Amino acid sequence: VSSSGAVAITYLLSGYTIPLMTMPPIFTKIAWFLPNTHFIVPLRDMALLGSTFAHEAHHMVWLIGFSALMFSIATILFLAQRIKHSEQSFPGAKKLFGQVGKNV
Amino acid sequence: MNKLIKILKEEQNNLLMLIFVVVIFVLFLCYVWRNPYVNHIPFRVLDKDNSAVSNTIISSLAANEGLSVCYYAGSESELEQAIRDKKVNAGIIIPEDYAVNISRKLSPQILVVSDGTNINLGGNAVAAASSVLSTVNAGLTVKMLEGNGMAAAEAQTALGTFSYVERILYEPQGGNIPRNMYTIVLLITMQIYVTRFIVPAMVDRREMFAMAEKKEYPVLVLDFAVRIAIYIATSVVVNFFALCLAGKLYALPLRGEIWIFTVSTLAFMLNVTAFGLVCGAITKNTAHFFQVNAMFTLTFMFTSGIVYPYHMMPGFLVTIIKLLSPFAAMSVGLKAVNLKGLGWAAAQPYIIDSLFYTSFWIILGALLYARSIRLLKEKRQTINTLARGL
Repeated sequence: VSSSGAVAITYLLSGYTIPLMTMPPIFTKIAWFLPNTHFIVPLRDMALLGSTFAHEAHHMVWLIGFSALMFSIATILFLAQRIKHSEQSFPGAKKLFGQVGKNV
Repeated sequence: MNKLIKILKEEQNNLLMLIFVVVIFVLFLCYVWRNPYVNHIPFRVLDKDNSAVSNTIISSLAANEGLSVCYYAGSESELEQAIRDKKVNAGIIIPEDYAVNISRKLSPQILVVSDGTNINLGGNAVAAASSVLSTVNAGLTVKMLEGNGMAAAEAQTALGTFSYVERILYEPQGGNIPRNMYTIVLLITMQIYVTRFIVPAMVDRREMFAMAEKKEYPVLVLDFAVRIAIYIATSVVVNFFALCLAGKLYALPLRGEIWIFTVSTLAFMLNVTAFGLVCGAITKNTAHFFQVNAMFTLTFMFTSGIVYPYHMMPGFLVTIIKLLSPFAAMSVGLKAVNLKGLGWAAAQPYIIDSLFYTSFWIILGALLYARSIRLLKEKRQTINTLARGL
């Protein structure tokens, strides 16, 4: 449900089909934080308006930044889960992980 | 009765989710789309004439609520660049000697250009500009007739010899809420029902069926059928409640009879159940199903006949869509029931189509599920035989 919902809601709020100017002003700001706004809208502009790389570069930078942020968060959460799991299976593992980290 | 209460307790989380997500989603989207008009569309003017007539046109455009005349361009290329850079969505070019050519009766032409990449904005800008221009044009024509010696009243009558009145029925404002909400509420209900209940339940129950004796099958099937009935009943009520709420708060029209709405929504939920049975029968890992389902969410919406009408699609594609999509049979019908207030006679073909869809896929789903249980049983027996051999 969450992934289907995320796909649908970010699509609807990106301004791709329904213009942002018809929505309450807060959604113009929200749209800026949605990856779809920086992907499908520039994609359409490149295809139909013939926008150049320079025109859409800021969207690409945003997407790279967003990917890096999400990847970092996912990695941190994954590692935290691993450490928690190890701690449950092997008490003292957290300390050991910390030790290994210090040595590295 | 105790059994029913037990089932309700087991399913309460999913049922609550169904109720709250549908209602919240509908209210949220209604809030986002509450404005039915696209107003103050950025509009640029290129006035090469700079006459009294062109000034009248520009001031009339500026007075129109649909447009926001925010920039004045110096040349055609500047206007084109402004549209390309998304600074404006449309513009107007008034040619040189426009007023002079009018007085010479040379029919000079004004050019309205718009950004067609978003038809909502481009189309509305052109419509607003056209209405302004036709009003100005009528005024100029009257003045020209008067200038040629015709009496003022006579000139106005001459202009109004041919006239027409536009009347858009059912959805005169053309807002996004009445256009989409009847289908979106179905889509959300379907997503929750399929992903939270029917497919995971079928995957989990496969093991149960494989381990059970044949005499236990009726009890298991009945238990599953009762749960399906509870979900379908809840979905029908929640759909109605959510639409009523949207009607009360955001003036979403609900013109149909309640019984036609109930039967139509029931028919839709049976379609979704049949679709879910087939998906559940062929799914081994629910995570894979969720991924595929997420990819098809928008496809279902786009092929529902609401976003793009069926009569504009190729015939073979419509047949395929109607055969595969649980949306195809009822989405257009349900919108017509709610928006136009269709009677039984008009709703009947949609309901019959729906029953055909349900019958076909429910039988196929049951057969596929029975086969998957038999295969699982055979696999278990083989493993047991091998284990005994060891």
